[in-house]
Amino acid sequence: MNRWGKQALGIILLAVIWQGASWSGIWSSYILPSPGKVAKALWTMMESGVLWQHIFVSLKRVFQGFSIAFLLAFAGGAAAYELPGIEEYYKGFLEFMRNVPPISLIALLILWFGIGETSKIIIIVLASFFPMYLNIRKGFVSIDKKLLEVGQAFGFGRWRQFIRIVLPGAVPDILVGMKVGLGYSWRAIIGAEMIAASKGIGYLILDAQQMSRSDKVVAGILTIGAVGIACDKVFQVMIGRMAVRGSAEGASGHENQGFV
Amino acid sequence: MRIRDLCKEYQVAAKRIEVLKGLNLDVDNHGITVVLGRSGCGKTTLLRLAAGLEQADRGSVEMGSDAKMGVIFQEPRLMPWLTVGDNILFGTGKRQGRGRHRVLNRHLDYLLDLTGLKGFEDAYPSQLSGGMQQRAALARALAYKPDYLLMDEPFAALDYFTRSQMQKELLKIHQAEQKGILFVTHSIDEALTIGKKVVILEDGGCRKEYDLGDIPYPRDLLSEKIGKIKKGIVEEMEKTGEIGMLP
Repeated sequence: MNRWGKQALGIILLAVIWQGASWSGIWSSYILPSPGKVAKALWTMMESGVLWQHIFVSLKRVFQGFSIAFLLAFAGGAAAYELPGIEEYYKGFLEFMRNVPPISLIALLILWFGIGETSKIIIIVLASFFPMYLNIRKGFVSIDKKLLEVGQAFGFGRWRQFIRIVLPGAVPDILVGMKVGLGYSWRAIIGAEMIAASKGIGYLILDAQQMSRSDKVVAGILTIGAVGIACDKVFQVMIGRMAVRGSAEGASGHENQGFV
Repeated sequence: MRIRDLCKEYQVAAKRIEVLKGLNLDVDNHGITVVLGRSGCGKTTLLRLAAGLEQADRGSVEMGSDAKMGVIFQEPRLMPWLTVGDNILFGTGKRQGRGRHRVLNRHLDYLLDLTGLKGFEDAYPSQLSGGMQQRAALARALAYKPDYLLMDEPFAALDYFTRSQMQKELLKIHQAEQKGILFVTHSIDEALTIGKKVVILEDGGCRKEYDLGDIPYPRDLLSEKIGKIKKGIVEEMEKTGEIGMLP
């Protein structure tokens, strides 16, 4: 059996156990809604378009917050490379913020920015900035000095050095940072929407809970997972296109010498 | 290229090491000048100073005001994310392009031919052998249209056969391009195979010069004449049994 077959079998097995448990009648259908009921709730929401709306709103927030976080992380990473001395000043603060879960700031953010889009976008920025910053920084800072000398020998200035050697050399790390950052943003937005929102997947779940519709809660959770995987896959395809064989090892000549 | 009174010091741990102590050297505009020396004698330092990768403490490297240098390092140092064609054009600011966007570049075609890389222009460096990578590095330096080629033990990491083949090809390329070459090596045989002038670098200066201008290429290293020169070089280099300090 191939990879996909095995993965599908695992999921089917889980669904069968779930169905069996709900048939057994040990738990009420409120505590454990049956797969059929969840599928029906999912279908109803898809048909009426409500689900798509919520997905769209959540994704839009993720896209906005993620873009801002990427720009900040890129600027921070580039600064760490171009001005190594400056990093010491903000290192301590970043280290502190990295250890504070963004959700814990939501009370303050609502106080300062209201329950509108701003506070949610800030949550996403905070959640996705760190994995991106750390990876992008690593990509820039760990650039092979020997490759930089090649540019130097061709008389490249600082800017050309950065554009032609440092940036392309850091692309694999930048893409890894973006991939991890995207996952973090998606998880963070659900949390933020469950605390204060009137739209979005997080709100959908919270609303269903208040209406005692556990089937809709489960449907919402399934949607989160599915959209998360879809985002990841789309990104994976983009990485595959952009990174080409660029990350293939050894071509700068450390290990890969002398075979013919 | 005239190198005059070149001095360079390094600080290794707490110890100051004078690598070059007032070195003088003339590099022929068209011939191959080989600097021969044991490991750590400062050969690479000399080359890096000539290439402008490091600053001398004193002295000068004089050449034409807009003379360009093509540097070939010990390792190929190709950009792993670029194809061979784009790597060769790296110093020129041009791109090879792909498929129907390919730009016709006569000079690139010529260089691919010259270095035996025809058909590999779309390969990535990691797909090539060490010898092929070093050829691409050579082509990259030539594409820059330099006045001088500076070569830092470029074939040291290659096996015997690849190495001697690369030496032959370098001679061929030199014949076609007629550039001044400053070539640094620790191999006496290599020096005798390609050098028009061979200079022994020892104790921070040029200790002795051998003019091989009258021996035509390709050379037979087993000939009596070259054998005599080799004996002289070996004796000269064995005089100081000191091991070089530099990395």
